[in-house]
Amino acid sequence: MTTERQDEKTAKFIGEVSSVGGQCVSAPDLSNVRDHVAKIVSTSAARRVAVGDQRLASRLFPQGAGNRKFEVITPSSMSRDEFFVALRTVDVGVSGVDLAVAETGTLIIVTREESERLVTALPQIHVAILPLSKLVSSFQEAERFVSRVLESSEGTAISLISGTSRTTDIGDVVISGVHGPRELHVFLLDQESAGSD
Amino acid sequence: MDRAGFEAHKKLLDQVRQGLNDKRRRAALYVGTEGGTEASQKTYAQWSQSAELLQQARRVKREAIEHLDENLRRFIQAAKAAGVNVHIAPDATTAVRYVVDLARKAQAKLIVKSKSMTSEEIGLRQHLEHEGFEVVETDLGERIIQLANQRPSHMTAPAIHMTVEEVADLFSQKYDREIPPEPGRIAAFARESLRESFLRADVGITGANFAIANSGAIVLVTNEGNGRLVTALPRITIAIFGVEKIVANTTDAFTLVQALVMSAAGRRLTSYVTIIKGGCKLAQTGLRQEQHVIILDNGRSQMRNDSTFKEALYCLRCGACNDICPTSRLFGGHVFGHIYTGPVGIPWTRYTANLDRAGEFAPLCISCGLCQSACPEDINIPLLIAKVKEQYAKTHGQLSINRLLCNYERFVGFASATSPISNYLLKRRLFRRALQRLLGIDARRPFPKFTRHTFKKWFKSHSSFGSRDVAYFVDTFADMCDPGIGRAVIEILEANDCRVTLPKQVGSGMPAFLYGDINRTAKAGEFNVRYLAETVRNGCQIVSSEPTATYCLKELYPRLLGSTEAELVSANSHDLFEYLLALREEGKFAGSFLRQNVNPVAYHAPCHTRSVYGESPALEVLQLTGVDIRPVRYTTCCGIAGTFGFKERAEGYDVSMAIGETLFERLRAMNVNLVITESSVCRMQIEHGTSLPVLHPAQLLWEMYRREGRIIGNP
Repeated sequence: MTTERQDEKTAKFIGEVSSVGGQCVSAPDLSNVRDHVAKIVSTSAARRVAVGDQRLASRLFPQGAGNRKFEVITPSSMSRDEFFVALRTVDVGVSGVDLAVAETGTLIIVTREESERLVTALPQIHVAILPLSKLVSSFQEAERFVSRVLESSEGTAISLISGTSRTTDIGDVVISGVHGPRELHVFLLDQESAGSD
Repeated sequence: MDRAGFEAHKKLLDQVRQGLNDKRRRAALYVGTEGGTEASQKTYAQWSQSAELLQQARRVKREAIEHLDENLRRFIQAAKAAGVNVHIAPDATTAVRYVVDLARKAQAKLIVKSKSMTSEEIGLRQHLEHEGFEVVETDLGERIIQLANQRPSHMTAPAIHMTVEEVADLFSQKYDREIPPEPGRIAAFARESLRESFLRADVGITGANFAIANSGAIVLVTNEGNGRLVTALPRITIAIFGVEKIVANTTDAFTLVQALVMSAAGRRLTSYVTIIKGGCKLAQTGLRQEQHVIILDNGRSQMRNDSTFKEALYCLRCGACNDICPTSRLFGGHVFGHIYTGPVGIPWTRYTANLDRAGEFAPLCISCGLCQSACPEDINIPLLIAKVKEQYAKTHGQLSINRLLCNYERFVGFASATSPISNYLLKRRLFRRALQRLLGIDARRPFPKFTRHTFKKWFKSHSSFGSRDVAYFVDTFADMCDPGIGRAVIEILEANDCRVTLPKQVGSGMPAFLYGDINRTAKAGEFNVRYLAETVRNGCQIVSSEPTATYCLKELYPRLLGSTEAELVSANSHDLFEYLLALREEGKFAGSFLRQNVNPVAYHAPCHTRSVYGESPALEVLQLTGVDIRPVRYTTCCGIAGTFGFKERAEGYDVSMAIGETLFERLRAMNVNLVITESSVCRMQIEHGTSLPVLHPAQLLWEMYRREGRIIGNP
């Protein structure tokens, strides 16, 4: 794909995410994302950050939270019950993305374990890290992707996320963050540096 | 009508009167429903692929119902292979028993639910509560409804009838604390209080918007995100859905998801679309979630076996018909609905409950046809409702006023023949009071002026010349009330080089359709189709100027008669202005399009014009001719709906004027001296509601032609 068309796709995606109530910025590398996350956490006065899978957690926070003022938890760092108890006080959930659609500003996240999905569903703030290579133009490509995933016989939940949790059930007024995240931050990670961090 | 029919009708009238008096509820409903209609209309207009998507969605759903047995078999197979427990429930009782047994076996204390119309249909929550389980609805609208101990008043927005203040009062009272009437604060409170329920729940119950046959997966379309929590947190999840929700593959499911969201919310996608196949792993335990699926029949097979009602199974539950329907907008689903609300709720109630329940609120349908125009699946809801009315009348009989009004076209003939005496009498207050007392015709509703100098008489002595052959299908109003319309149509056509004939014809028969006398409408259709088909075979195109007539010729007759002749007539029938636009395509439309010095006029699009064409051809033509014509912002029916607005008080007149209120206000606010609309009954309603003069667009175009010298004649 030419750079021009790539740029167009990126711009479309960023625009669509914002039109459905999220925010998307390009990040040169993971350390840049780390700084962004730290800023989001401190702005929201969060004390705990949950990361959906261990691999992402160890790449994003190689030394845990380090000297930061928040704790990083993952489903595998404690028992299921403990994780659920901990989730009640988690304000920021961080996840990867398996595919994203520029046309609709949609993130597609495939999970085979319920706690991975909860990290994107329970906290007030969802941070999604999207490698540029996983961004496609059209919704049709998403269909093909989902069809393929469903061919596997494992128990699977595929979440298509377009914006923030919202409702209009009270007086026809749009409210964000009713059960799920009220903020959605997408970090679009440059292809080359994605694997090198 | 028998006693049971009368009792039910009396109850409906009581609800109608209450609804009319509840101004606060009416305002809440109007804001919500108009917003819904406008949002989806905007997306349809702005997104270039919307028409193509709808075409696909219609094909997908028709195929899904055609291959329902095969899809069901494949779904069961695939779901079982993914470790899902599949249960087929022939009726509500079986479905409920399955869930109760499951909850007992799991020793469940708390059950969380997300929104599901299918669970409403079988009264699942109420049954579980009766069995001693604590059940919490987690969709915010459903939660409000649960706390208020009501039922949903709308297919997708269960609490649409409640104001912010009512909701705040409800929460304050139920949770014994002060909650301010601010949507954001209420939602935040609901989030906190429901969070604990999610985390404690033993069982999660959802519906499914779609199920995918080749993978055994279910699809949930939500905005709030509660559906994600209901399916991820409890160890046991149950999805209950109707057998008609199964589609062949992922592509089909995605097509329907997009059509559903566009029609329900005017967006491309909802915040969350979740596709679940089998139970997920439970972290750190080596266990998997236990997933159950209940596929409900409960009348659906019967529906499918009926060649007419089969169409109702195409419903996506988007709620667009709830939003656009004039009476559903006015009263909401508590009056206009049983469990399934709004227009499509009538056929659904007929099969998932029974004919009596459906027939009781079916009179609220005034046959405007807008529901079909808003339906993403193009379901002929007006016809399905007329069938329910017909069946109900066969069981319980018909109200005498309705029987009388089925003969409206004959009455017009009589009034025309006896004019001007008829006009004199119809203006006398005493006579009108007598009519109201004896027949139930509201004394406040003005009749149009009838004339014995009919259009048909004028046409007899008229000779027409031109190189294109056109047959005019005239309506009773243009014939016997305002022959000026008919004459304008003829002279406009002649100015466009058409030779106009008047084939043998009778009134459209639409007045009978409104009260479910489908046979009578079909008979009129048969007569008209016979003679019109003949003229088409002789090389004529058919033109009509009344939207209801065009609707009958193009849509209703072929559906009722199912004959090739009716199809032939349909394909060769046109609204006058559609015909003129076609001439323009060929460069044959007469008109200089000089901007003429005419004052601004307002335009109201009649329901049947919108139903047949979407956008009004008359508006387009008049804009082309340089008229400063401004469409009024209004998305529903003017309220009169043929003869409906003539019936006394809560039976018709009061409802019709309440529906039209917003239209009248907005027309007055436009500060114009003239309103244009194609429909004769819209004209009566607007004249009555605003005191503004109203003309048919043909009359305005005729005047433009006269000023240009294309027509020589006196106004």
